[in-house]
Amino acid sequence: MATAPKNLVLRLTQKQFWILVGTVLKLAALKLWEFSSSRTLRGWEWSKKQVTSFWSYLSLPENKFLKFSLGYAVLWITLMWVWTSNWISMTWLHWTILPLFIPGIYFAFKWYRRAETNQWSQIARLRMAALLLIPILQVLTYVLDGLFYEMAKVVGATSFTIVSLIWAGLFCWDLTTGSYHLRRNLSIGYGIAWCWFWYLWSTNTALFPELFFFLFFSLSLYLVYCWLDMVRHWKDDVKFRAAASLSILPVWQWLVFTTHLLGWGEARAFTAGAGLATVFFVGLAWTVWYVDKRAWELQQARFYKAAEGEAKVDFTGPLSAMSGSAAVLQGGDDIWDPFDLDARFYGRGEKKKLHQSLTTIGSYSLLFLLLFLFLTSLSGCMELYEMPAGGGEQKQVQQVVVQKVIKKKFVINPFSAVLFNPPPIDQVKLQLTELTKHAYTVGYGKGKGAGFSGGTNRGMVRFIRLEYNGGDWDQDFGVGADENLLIEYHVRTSHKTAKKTESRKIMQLKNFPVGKSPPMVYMTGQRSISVTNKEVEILREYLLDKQGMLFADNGGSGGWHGQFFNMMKKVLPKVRPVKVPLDHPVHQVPYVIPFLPYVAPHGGKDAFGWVVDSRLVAYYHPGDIGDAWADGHAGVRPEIAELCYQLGTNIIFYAHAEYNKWLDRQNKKN
Amino acid sequence: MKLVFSTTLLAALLAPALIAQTKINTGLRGDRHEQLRFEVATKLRQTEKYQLIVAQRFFAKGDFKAAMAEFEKFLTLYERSQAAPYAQIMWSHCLIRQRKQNTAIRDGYQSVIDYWPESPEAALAAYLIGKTYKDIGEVKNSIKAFDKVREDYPDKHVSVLSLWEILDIAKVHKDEKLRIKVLKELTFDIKRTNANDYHLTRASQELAGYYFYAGEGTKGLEALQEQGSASRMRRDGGVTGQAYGIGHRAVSDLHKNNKTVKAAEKLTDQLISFLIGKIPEDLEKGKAKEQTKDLLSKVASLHAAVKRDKEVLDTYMRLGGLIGMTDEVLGKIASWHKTKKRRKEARQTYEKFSNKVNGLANIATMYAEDKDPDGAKNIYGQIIQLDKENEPKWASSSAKVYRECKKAEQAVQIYDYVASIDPDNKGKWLTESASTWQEAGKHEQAIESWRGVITATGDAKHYWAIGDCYSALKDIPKALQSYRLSDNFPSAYFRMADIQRGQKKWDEALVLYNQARSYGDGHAQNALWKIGETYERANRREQAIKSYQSICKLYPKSRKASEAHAHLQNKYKINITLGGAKEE
Repeated sequence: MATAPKNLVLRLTQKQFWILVGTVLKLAALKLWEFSSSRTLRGWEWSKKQVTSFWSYLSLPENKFLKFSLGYAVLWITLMWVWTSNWISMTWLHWTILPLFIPGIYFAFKWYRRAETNQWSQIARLRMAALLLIPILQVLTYVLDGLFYEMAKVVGATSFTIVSLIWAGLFCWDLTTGSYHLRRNLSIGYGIAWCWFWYLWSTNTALFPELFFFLFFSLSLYLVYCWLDMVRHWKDDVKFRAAASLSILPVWQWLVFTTHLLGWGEARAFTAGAGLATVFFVGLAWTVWYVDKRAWELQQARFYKAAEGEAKVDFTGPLSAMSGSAAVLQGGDDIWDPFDLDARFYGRGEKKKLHQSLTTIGSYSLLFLLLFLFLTSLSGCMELYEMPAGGGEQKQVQQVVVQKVIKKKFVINPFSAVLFNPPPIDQVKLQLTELTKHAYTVGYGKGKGAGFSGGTNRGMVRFIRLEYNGGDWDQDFGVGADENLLIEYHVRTSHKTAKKTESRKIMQLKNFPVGKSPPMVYMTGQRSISVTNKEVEILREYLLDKQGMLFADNGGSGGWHGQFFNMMKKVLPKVRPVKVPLDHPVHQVPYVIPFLPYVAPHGGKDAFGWVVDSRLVAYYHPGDIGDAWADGHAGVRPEIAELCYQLGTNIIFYAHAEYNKWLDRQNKKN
Repeated sequence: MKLVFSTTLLAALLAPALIAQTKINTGLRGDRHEQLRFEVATKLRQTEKYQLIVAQRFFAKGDFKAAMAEFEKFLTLYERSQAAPYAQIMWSHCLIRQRKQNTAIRDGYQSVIDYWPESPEAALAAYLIGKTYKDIGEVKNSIKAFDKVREDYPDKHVSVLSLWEILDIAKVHKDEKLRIKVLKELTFDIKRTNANDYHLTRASQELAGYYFYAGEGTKGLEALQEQGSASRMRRDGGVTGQAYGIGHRAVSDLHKNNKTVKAAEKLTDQLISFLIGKIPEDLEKGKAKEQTKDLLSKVASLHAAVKRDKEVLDTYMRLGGLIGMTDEVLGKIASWHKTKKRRKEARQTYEKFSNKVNGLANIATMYAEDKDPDGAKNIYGQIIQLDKENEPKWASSSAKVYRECKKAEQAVQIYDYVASIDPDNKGKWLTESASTWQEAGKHEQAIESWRGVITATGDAKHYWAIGDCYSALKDIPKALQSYRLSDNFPSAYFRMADIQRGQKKWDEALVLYNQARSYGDGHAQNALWKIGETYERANRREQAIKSYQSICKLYPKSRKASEAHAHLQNKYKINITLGGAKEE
């Protein structure tokens, strides 16, 4: 056994091994050269030709209007980008830009008239009408946005849904009835759009509503069905299997998306993992199949050539051929093709086949790993958190006394024997009702509606929970639990909030860039917390450099209290935990918290905080506040449950307001 | 006569003031920030005193809201009173206790500075602002406030306290530069008073530690000598004691690292030279011999820390030369030989003891350390020849060696012999015999011995040990019977129930746990928890849940309730309240 590592070292230092490495590098360089010199050049030439011919087409006098329309479309898309990115925060600028959108309606009507005049087919006119709806509905939404923000949101969402549904319908229609070329072109177009939307969704860019994504990704299922149905009739097993293999990707993505949308965390994780494994094995199967096929073809060609006397070969017996070459080329030391069993780096023995198979599996696995890392770094590297746009003040909720006068009706019988004197109006008792309400907009900075000046129109308040090893991080997670707080937060502040609560691994906090990272993440549990040194570093970076805040809730044990404090000692060794005063803004705004509400005092009765530069970077609640948010409120009194919601609201708001202040400071600096 | 008269008169004059102050400060927790100044108490009117007493009583009871209202009333009624700044301080303390530190700073302490800037309480308030900021984690504001205190009140004690707090901040933030700056200031620049004696001494000790670890022994000694006459330093063993204590730690740590061995050697030499310099010239004077012994022992210990074998022995020889080669000095030499694993030399040194019994006892201990019980027995035999009076003591020591060497029979034989020659302590020696058997796993013999112990002492508690033996022998009925006879309740109930549960006799176990519930809340919680566990093992889910719920309901503030709450949530997905929070 002891000689095994020695042998391995010897094998690795063998000449053959370095010859293999050299050959792979040489082949890769050759292929790259071929690709760049021929394909790319040809592709470039083709594209140039297409663009030139399209420009010539546009330059024809009869296509002048088309040229204008396309030019305007580019401007329109740019303006749309500006508008949806919430860069227009000043009212006067909003109305100044409006005239630039109006021509869209003109172009729409003009095009429809042309379709009528030129007697386009019914379906073409329907397509045109669907396209023309977009600028009209957009202008309507834009105007409403300047006047009634809430109404604009409803109208915008509705118009978006209508247009999306029409286009989805047309897409399905074309797929069902179109020719092969139309299907192919539609599939290519859809594929490009799919990649883009997938990127948008995976980077959490809230440019489109989730329902739209669902609709769009669901179309891929129909597309897959159409292709499989079509290829089935070609009677070609290889093509059918290839189509089926390719179909795995959209189906896998759809399953992951849908489970995520439904909030089935475990199902999502399972689907993601299972899909990845399936893709790996299917890819491996195709690779092995291709290598085997190619090797067989080379052997067969050599065999026949030798039989015809064209080459000098040594024939081997059938048993040897099972594990090695069927016909070895004499003087074949110069064979470099890795598909060829007689390549010099597979050796001279009878294990050529085994060596080739092992090389294939190893190379494929390595490439798959590299590709996986590359793709995950593309999508996972970037995730954005954007706060909802708006403004407001960081103030306490005020106790407002509403005077309600109830008029008493005195029905007096004028013929009554009893003399009745109605009381003078001053003596009528006023019935006073006390109401708690916001006498201001909850938020921070200047902007329309409740929100944050550093936010965006597509931004929203999200509740992100940290996943960590060692414990039950998912206690009271999702529907009927912490989601209740998100709903209550929306009701109390009118801020736009996410529909569901989410979870991220500690390592994933790295994916959020500075300035677009979550202002607060939540952490709970009752068992142990196990964090690696890397995770500690990422948490420190999140809390200090990215100005985040950690909201920890002891879900049920004294042990978790110690575990959390130990973790924080590692994360912020220079910061000492302090008891958070009851008159700290986190306990005062928007709701005044008279005492710390808890369900059970697992870690005492005081909230602890870690303060850096006068900002709370971590807030520790000792008594299972998450239980109080859940349905049933863990049996605590209604007033305690209400206080728990208020405290939750305060903490989320504090984190966002502090984050907004920091963004303002950064903007001023820049 | 004159002296007696004047003292009586003075006492009569001061008595009302003392009573007033005592009354006002009654129940307070001894925090100097909560004490009324004596000179102010003497000048208060009765009405003012009464109002302050009322407020202080609420404060002492922990009713801070009421106390705050009473202090506020005092401020409204007696705005010009000399105790007004004090009342304002106390009002702020009430807020602090209610965890409203920001309001306390803004509306409390700051008001003292604004309205009574000349009062001594203003300085205190300024310091408390910084301290409160520090307590709530506002470090920058805290340092700013402390700097202001030092600027505005440089001669007051609060200035030292502020420096002390800054030192703490520097330590937490690992700001070494600031830490050393503050330590130097405290050690060298501030005039010592009774109030700051503690702070300055501690600072000098910490600074000395810093210098010692940096290999700068002279500077470290300077720092210690600067505060050499401080009363705290004297209580801590004086400059030599501290130089040795802090220096020895530093030398040992530095010597562990190859890179700092030279620094350790240098520091050792500096410290030794300092200690030797303190040896009195005239050894016959007062406690000179004691001092010399102490100093040279420290020198030897420092040599030992850097592994200088010859120097250690030379030092002890020098000590012997100066004060005589006493048993104590010989003991130190022998210990050093033992440390260096020269056991033969150690034994030879013990043999030189003038007190032969002590010397032989030490040799016997060495045989015990060598796991040689026969050798030890031989030596103890020699001791008994010399010290017949204490035969039981030496014989039992010999038995102990056999016991430690797992030779139970020989040990028991000696214990039994000791019991026969020492009838007054027969029970004690028989207990040792029984324990020896039990430790050796010879339970039958142990049971017999324990019965002998019970006969000799009449103490039923030993039935517990018999129960343990029967448990080990798997004789459950007899084990249960023995535990019951031990009269050690409720522990016996728990033990019996655990055994029954182990036998899957659920109902019997439940009855016993329920019996344990009647022995107070602490036991009742444990019993309920065990009942829950038993129901779970018996697959009676409903009853198990009820038991855990009972813990939450009956003892909501206890640790067990917290565990039951978590258990219900994890295992059964049941959320249950522990009463929730209340306004306090």
